[in-house]
Amino acid sequence: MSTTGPDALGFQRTRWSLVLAAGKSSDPTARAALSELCAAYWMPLYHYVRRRGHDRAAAEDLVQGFFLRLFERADFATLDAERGRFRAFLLVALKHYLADEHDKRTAEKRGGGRAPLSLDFERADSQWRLEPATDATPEKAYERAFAEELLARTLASVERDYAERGEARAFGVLVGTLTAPGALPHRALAAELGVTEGAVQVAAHRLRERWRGALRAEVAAIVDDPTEVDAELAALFAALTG
Amino acid sequence: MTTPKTCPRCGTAYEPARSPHGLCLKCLIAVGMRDEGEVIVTQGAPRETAPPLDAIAPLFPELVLEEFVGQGGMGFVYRARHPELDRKVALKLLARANASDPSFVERFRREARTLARLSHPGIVTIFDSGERGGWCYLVMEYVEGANLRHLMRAAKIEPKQALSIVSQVCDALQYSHDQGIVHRDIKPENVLLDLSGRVKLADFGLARVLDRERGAFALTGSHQVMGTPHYMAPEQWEKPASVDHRADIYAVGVVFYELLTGEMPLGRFEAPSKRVQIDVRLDEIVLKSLEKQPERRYQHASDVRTDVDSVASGALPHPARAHPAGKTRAWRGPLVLASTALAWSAALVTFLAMATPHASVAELAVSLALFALITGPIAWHVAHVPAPRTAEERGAWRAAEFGFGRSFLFGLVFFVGLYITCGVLAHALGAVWYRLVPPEGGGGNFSGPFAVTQLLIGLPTLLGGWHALDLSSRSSTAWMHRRFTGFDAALTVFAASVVYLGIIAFTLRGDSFWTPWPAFVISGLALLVLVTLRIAWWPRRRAAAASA
Repeated sequence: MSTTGPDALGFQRTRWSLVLAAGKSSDPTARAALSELCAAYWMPLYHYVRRRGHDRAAAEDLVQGFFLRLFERADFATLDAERGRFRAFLLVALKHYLADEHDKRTAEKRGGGRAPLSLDFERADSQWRLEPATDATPEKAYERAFAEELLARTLASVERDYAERGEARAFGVLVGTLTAPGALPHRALAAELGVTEGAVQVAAHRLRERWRGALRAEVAAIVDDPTEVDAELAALFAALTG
Repeated sequence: MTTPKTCPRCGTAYEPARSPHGLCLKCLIAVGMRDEGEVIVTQGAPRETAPPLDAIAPLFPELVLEEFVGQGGMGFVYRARHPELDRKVALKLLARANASDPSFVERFRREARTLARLSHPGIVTIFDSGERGGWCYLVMEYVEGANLRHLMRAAKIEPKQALSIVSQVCDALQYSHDQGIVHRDIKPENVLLDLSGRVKLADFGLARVLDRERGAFALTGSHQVMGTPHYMAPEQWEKPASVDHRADIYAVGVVFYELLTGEMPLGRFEAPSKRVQIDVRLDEIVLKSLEKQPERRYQHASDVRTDVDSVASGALPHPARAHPAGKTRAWRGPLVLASTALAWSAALVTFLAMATPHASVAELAVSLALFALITGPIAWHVAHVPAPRTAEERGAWRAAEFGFGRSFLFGLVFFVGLYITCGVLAHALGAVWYRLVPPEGGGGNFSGPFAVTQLLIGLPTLLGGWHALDLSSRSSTAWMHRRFTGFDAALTVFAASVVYLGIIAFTLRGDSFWTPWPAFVISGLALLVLVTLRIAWWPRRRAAAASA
């Protein structure tokens, strides 16, 4: 993430902006970046398609088919209005695709055995089942799943970071302080980690900073302009409301 | 589908199974939003943006610049590595040397040389300084950790920790004052805590250099040099030239006040103990540090430290007792003790007198000894449950509180278990005793299976009751335990035990006496103790409620 997030001065290109800059050309770096982004954020699409009423098999085919076509054409130029944010782009592109497929009804032929991404539909489906039975629109379900996926990914990357430095235990103990600073008694955490309360407080603060940095970097990777990060965070926040 | 959870912070209902580590997703996002983290304080004049790494790197070929860390009133800070020494350093760019005042650089150098002399574990060490590419800079020890402002924002700092921090700050200050160096800008931002929670003071004496250059700084607008007025001693405003080390002591007082109460001592502020429940002795320390006249303040940082340490080393008195409104009632302890002792001995005499024809003295003695053996540790345990000191802890206690009714029931369960177990053990020991010293005419009504059954019922009841009592001792063993710990609480447990004893005697064993009246006597005595307790504590509780 550190290689793709904005550096301290915010000048570095984000991954999504890389894709956009490449446009229709088949720049291999841009293609790799797109593929990486899609691999990260396909699950919300599955939620969307399921919410539209397709069964599991159809949804799997549609998502795979969509990616196939996305990589074939890479036609971002046609999506001007939604270019700025990867999240919005992905949904609009999928809608276009679904509309086309609806006309042609050839979903099965397209996907046929040539999966461009290896997608864990088992996981997608089990998560889909956890979805509360609300009357949320498919769009809402997509936005929500997108926010969830992004947070889960980012937290996992921070956790990996801690684990690599042999601090997996500290992460496990301190992670609760992220959303509830001060609610967990530092004394208990200190006892659990065998350090002083002061050290726990500092460590909790550092975890918070790390999380903050990682989250902003991850969001920066899916918007085309680093100044958009706060707006995108607000949109993700809104997606989780209601 | 699992049960949804409600986030205690934002009140959103969410599905823990769908959240990583069961965290509230909205709160996770909120951490990343701009206004959650460090607000880069900009007020007054427009400020320069930090020069990018690659613009700075050529100026410092001996360092590997790693990251822009932050920006404060004092300058831009970068994290760097000294590859030769393989150590992390912080590079601080202070200000552009001003062309209109060529002597500034010279003054800065002189000041930096003085600062570099400071060598103390509580002070950020300076490795190098100078002027390059138009920037005055300092290369300093990199403190991996956070500053006090961050920590205060992240969580409430407990009084105990506040004492430790202030003590360490004073220690470092006394050292620098001994070297003739006044910090002049003590504030939470300049108090760093490393990963093990040790304090390190940063930005020593820089305020003096920078203050003089007020107009000359492109970096800091006039508002920013004055950026921390709340921590400035009155004489720092009025006669900046005459400022001495006592200005630092004033600033420590402000920081201390803020640590304890979470607020600044502005205008006619209240003593800290009026705002939060802390030791009243801390009021004196804080107020003495905050005296307007330097002559009336502490004269040495070490004096502050001594006083703080003396409060910290003695156990903090319980908040209720520390409250100035509630003086300890000296007569309460002895009164309760006396009435409890009276009730106990009267109950004992009655019990012995009435029950002896049925039981041997050995049985009774063993039974009572066992009772004491079990109640003693419990009373000791209850006496050592620490009192809640912070608002959070009090909240947790309140949440775990059983309430009077349930506490009473648990207590009853416990004493029933205790009674049965003691009885069975006494029987068993008595049987062994009879076997060894056979009494005339045979004796001992010990029956193995019966005892085992009793024990099977008694022991779990005892353990369950003990556990419950332990739980309720954290909330309220009896209803008054909420407010009292230590001796008071132990006393309460003993006193309450008579009440339980009375109830047990009345309900369980009333029929085993010749007549039921001993049970009445014990119950009556128990009631007497109850009333005494009520009288002893009632006015105080009312006073405490009124002052709350």
